Amino acid sequence: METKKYILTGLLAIAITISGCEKFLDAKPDHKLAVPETLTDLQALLDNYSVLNTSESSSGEVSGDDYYLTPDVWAALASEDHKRMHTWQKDLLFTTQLNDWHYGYRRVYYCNSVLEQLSGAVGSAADHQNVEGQAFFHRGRTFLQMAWLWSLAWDAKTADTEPGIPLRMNSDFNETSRRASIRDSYEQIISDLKAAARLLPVTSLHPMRPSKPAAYAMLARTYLSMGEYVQAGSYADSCLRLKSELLDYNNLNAADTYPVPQFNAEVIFDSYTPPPAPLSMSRARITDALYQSYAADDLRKTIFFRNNNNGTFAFKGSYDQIPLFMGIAADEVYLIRAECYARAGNTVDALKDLNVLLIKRWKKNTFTPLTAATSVAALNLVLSERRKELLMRGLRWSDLKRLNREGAAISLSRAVNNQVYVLEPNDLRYALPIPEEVISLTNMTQNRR
Amino acid sequence: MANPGYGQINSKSGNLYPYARLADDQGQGLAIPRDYRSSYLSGLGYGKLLDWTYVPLEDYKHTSTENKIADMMLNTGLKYTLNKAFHLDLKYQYERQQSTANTLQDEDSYFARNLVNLYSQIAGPVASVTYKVPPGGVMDMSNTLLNSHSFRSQLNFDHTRGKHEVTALLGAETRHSGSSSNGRRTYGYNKLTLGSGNVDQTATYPSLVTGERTFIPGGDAFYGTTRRYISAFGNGAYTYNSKYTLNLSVRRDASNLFGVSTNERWTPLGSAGISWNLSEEPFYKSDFLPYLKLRGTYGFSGNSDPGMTGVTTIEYQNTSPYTLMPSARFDNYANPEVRWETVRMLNMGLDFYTRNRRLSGSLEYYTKNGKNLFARSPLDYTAGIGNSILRNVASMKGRGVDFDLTSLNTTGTLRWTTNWNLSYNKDRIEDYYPESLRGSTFLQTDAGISGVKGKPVYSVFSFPWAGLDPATGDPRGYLAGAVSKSYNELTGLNNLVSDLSYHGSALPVFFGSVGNTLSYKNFSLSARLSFKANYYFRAKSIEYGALFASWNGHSDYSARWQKPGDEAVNQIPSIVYPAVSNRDAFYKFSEELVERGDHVRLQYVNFSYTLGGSLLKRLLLKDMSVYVNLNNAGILWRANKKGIDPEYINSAFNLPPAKSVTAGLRANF
Repeated sequence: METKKYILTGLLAIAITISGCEKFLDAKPDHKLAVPETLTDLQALLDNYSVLNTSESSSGEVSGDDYYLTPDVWAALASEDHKRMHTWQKDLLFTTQLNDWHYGYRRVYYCNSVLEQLSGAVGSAADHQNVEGQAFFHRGRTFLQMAWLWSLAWDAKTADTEPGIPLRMNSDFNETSRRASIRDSYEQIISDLKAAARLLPVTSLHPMRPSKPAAYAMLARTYLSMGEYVQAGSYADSCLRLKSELLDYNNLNAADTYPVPQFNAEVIFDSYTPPPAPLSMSRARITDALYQSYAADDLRKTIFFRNNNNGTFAFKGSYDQIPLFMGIAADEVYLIRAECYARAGNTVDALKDLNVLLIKRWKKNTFTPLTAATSVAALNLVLSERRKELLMRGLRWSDLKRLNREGAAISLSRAVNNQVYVLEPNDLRYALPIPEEVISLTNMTQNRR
Repeated sequence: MANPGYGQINSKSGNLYPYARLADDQGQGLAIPRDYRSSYLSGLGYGKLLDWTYVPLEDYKHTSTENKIADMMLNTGLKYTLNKAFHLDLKYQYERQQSTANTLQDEDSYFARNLVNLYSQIAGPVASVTYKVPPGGVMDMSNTLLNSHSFRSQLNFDHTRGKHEVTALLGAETRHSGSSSNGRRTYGYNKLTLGSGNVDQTATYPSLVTGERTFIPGGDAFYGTTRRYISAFGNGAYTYNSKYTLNLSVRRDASNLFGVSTNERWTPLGSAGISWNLSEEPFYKSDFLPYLKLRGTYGFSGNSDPGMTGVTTIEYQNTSPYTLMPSARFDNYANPEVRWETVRMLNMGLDFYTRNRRLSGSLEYYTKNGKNLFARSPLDYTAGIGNSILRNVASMKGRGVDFDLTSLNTTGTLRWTTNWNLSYNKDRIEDYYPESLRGSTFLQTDAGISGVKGKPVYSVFSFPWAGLDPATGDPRGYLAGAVSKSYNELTGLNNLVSDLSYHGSALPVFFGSVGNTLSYKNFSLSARLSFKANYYFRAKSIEYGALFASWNGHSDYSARWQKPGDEAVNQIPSIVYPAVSNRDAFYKFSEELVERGDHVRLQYVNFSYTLGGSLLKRLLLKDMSVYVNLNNAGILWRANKKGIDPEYINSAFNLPPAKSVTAGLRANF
């Protein structure tokens, strides 16, 4: 009897020691950890600017023709991927993992995780909509960047047969990646951005957070790259009705190292990429013909470019100062609307938009409004201003694809490594090779190059 | 305020540049460029800036760190004998530790001057300087408070009746340790007047050098951690007639891993064993071997990796400088497909000693069966979470023998004992789940699970080596049997593990040590030699890409191929500029750099003198001894011809720890 009591006492002592262990073990090991479940948590993930805003794709710009490299600068590039990308090689452009594919799909993972957790997240309806809209916006615009880089230009005739991009729609990383058709890719982009436009508020807390006009502008950008000009024009218009402020370059000081202030009034949505080596100010030289195309009284000639004092010029006009601005500003939206007016034969409105923009770009009292006899002449004016206004913004690569598909016959060339490399219009190499490592793990279709 | 050590002086782009001079011929410290070219800095600021030079031999004098630790520990216990067989043991420990660390980089430190200058604003040659970071020192202060409690209760049972002997224990332990810490930074600190300045951390300011606008770096930080552990354990042994023993042991441990469901937190550990004291049997008659015991144990352990969370978790980071709202990143990704890693082990052994214990020791044979071993395996980074993830990748089998023998060679005034430890351990992969057979997966700087069926779990592979090109000094390999310099193909994704050379295990198959102790009266001398054999490692060499990009050099540079004929002496590739990354990568993982790791090392030599009885009493001491120790005595023999210590191949700068001699006096009151 006594023995039993003793044993019970002992067992009780042990039981006390481990009792309540479930709760005891539920304490967070690090107080900064959380399971994402509240709207605050989800918003915090979307406010991770280094993932969502500041790791934009730069491969299109590196492959583009806004700049060139001298042979010795090209030879001294530390990264072989950059050397190969600059000369449009067929393969091995993304051999290190920290590349645009990785940054893009990391952003998609953040968006998918947020969208999955949203249904159970508590918070006000307005916050709920806002967070959901942001996730749709970032996923849609990221898929667009991916599609511009890794698939051929949109063409309704081949959109069902040509491979687009993998559309990762959930956070399950055990799922095998598969490429959707170009049509499915663009349909997803448009559906994401339309959802974002419906959900987002008209103004956001900061330009790094998307807003309704940003979603409209992104839809305009998408449709423009598809050559769907009616839709593009109408979304550009929707955006400008909500946000249309332009920056007057007369108020900037061209002598500043970086004259355009960050988050200025013109910015609708801000995102950027730190310049990759080939595009850094000390290496990239602006294509001579492009620099020469600015008139003397055009303020952009001094605000955008630094004189290297050897007959060449470097770009210093980024809306994010050192990093390259890849977001959307009102100037781009004006140019989209102007282009769409011109393509619809509406010369008057096309020129009106163009002149509203240019008067803010020219030295005070020097600008004579542009005129055009025909809508074709107006279109050419818009396209030339588009080139001069939107350089180094990650748009040129998509423009080259779109314009060449419509017959612009722009061919690019590089003179490095003692030879001349040429990229013909509509070359298959306009769709960059998917990182070989990804192909070998998934057996996805590689781009024909 | 210690002299900077090797590798601690560096610049923005990485290491110290080659041939950097730290002092002039008179020993005076010289300035070296650190963040910006000196010619560039001299043209800035119209001569109104603080001195912007960095003199490493001066600078360290301007950084001081003060650490204070107050520690309190409380131990209490209760031993309660319930009856003859049962007794209860309770123990409680409390610890509280408060520490503060203050680091001052004073107004003359490069760190402080650089920040002040960087955020200075000067409108023109006649304007005065506007400081956004006030001139003065930078003081970083941090506080940490640690509290820990641990409680252990154990019920013991001890009972002998006739030929039956039972011992058992049942117990539990819980531990909680919580810490909170914070840090802050003060600019414009003046240690004489205790003055301090303010900075504006809500707005960005342009860098004087690049013009880029950034926030003035802040130092406010808060951290809090809570670590909790619970263990429950039980042990039981039954012995019959002091000859046959049956053992059973179980244990489960849990900790507050985050995002892990309660069931998965507990890791089990259990074993069952029998032993037979053969020498107690009546039929056993041996004068030579008076003690002989046979034993066998079967054990099981399960292991869940901390990476195996049940839900995806996030970690809060600093406030976003843009939205001024909290920002977070993913910390751990839930993987529903991960299972426990399990290890089953069977041991068989015997313990023995000879008459007067002249020889004593044990011999043990074991087999090991591991399933679902964890390792990082390649992941399609389209998934968005990086290019590798912890997965169950392999199962393995291993077996080994451990032999331990101590001999008493002489007794009496001069006492000499020798102790031998010898081990043999061999394992092999039974199954490997990832389908990837890409060569590059098997060529990593840190040897992971190699995953080739039938080969050791950690194996060393390399690119086959066709020697240097005698005309250019380029490294060459084999592509489909032919000598090739197509580095992209040689190192590319089509290069499979079957195209690689296999060397052997990355872990020693044989290892052991032998120690001798000689004692004469109060003097004692002991030394231990150890050896490791039958394994391979990858030697480091020059990587031209790293040399050009960050001045990351290697002494092999001086022995590189420079002219035809050099390839007969050394096989170190010639320098090419610009560097070709896959040429570097091919050489780095080539056969040429794989070496045998076998070596013999003198671990320590120890000499001591223990004081005699009467003197001790007079000094009121329990015991006292004087000693001299030689540690890290170094390698006596190695298989590689490059003079590399294979034990320290992954240490900073490849350097083994320095030989050290310590002398001392030890006394107990």
